[in-house]
Amino acid sequence: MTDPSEIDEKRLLEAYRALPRPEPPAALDAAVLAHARAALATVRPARSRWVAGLASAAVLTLAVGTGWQMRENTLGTAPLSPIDSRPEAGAEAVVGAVAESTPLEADAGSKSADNSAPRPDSRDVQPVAAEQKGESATRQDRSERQRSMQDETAGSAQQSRQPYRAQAPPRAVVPAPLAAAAPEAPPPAPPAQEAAAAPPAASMLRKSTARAVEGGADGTQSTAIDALAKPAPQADSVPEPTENEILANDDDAGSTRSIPQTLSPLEWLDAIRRMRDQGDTRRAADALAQFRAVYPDEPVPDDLKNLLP
Amino acid sequence: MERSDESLMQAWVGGDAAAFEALYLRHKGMLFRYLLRSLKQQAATEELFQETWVRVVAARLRWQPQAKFSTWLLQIAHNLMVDHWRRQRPAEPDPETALAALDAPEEDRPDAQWSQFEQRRRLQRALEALPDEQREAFLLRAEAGLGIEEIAEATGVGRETAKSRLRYAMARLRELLTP
Repeated sequence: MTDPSEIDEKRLLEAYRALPRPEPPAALDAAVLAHARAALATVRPARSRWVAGLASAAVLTLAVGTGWQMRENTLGTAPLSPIDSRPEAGAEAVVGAVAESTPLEADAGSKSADNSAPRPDSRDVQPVAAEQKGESATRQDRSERQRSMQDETAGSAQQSRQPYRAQAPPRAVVPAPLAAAAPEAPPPAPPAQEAAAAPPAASMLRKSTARAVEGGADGTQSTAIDALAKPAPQADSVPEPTENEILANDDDAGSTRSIPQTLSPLEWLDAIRRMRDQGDTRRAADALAQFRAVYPDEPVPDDLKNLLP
Repeated sequence: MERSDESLMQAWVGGDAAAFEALYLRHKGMLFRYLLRSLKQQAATEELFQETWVRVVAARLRWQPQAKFSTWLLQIAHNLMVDHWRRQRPAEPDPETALAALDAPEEDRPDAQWSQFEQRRRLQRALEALPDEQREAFLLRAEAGLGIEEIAEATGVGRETAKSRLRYAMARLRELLTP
């Protein structure tokens, strides 16, 4: 027996199906079918998709590897601090750190290396002479720094010894005017105890600038630190300038800056003769006067007596 | 022998463009009317009709042969309609529809035999007066021929909910259509 509700449902469905049956517009049909065809056209075989995926993974791996290498290089060469970014300042910082034994005050130390270097003992050299010698030392420092850029190890080693230069006792006691006129002596070695203290300071700086040195970003920095790490040369090992070097450096010197106090009497007299032979009688006479002041017991050769006053 | 929807779908996924055309021709009218009578707006119907097929095309590789194609198709359309309704403000009831929803006074009902035209018009108005869920359940049954289980699957509700919605829809339509 049929359920009355089912009969009602059949009647309703029949009534519904008797309703108008609208269809989508033809343009809509065309759009949908075109979209489906286009989707099929873009489908690629599974093999090509697999190959494309593998190629993409390979390219990604290469890109990541290259990027990682570049990142490591960048980290290795990146400046770590303002000190590192200034080559000369970095070298001065090393010198200052040795002088002050305070690596963190590198900049101040570099200034003190030039301006507040230890003064010569007043018993040996008078103050005026020391100041003039300090100016001369500053000029000499600049030229030495320029040379140190070319010859890293030697130049930086000289810079590291700068604070101790004025402490070296002169080999011959000369009067104040002669000391002021004397050309710059080669930097003597620091005292033994300070030379022994240099390696710990260098090790401290190595810690603070370790990454910059490892990266090799600045040759000056590494050279300065290497120079500190090396044992300081002794005074005996410092090469003395030859007479020709002294005379060659004497071109721009004053008339009284003619003869170094480190020459032997014979060498001194020979130098006086050369001055006389070159026609520079006044300088030769001044030098002979200095000679007599330093070596009062030495006899004046006959050929030079005409230079005496 | 007519190929099943599932067979056509598999053929289309395999690259047979003609299989999709057969599927489309088979279901396009049903889908269009389902949307049109649910949305009651031609423009929105066309938009969602096209979007439904676009999604079918995009999701063809995820389609499982175990699923009935018509149910899957109507489920996509249902979800799009739900999103559409959520975007829309609550629409003001069409005055004509609102009037049709009301029971006409007894004296205004011609007891004489209604013309078929009048019957269809009253059924359309009665459908429009139904709540959305009930109307959708009725349309899925009357238009797509879905059973209770399939209606529940297409609309994302439980079987009892779908059955209840369909029963209330039928009762309301009978009530409105009874002279």
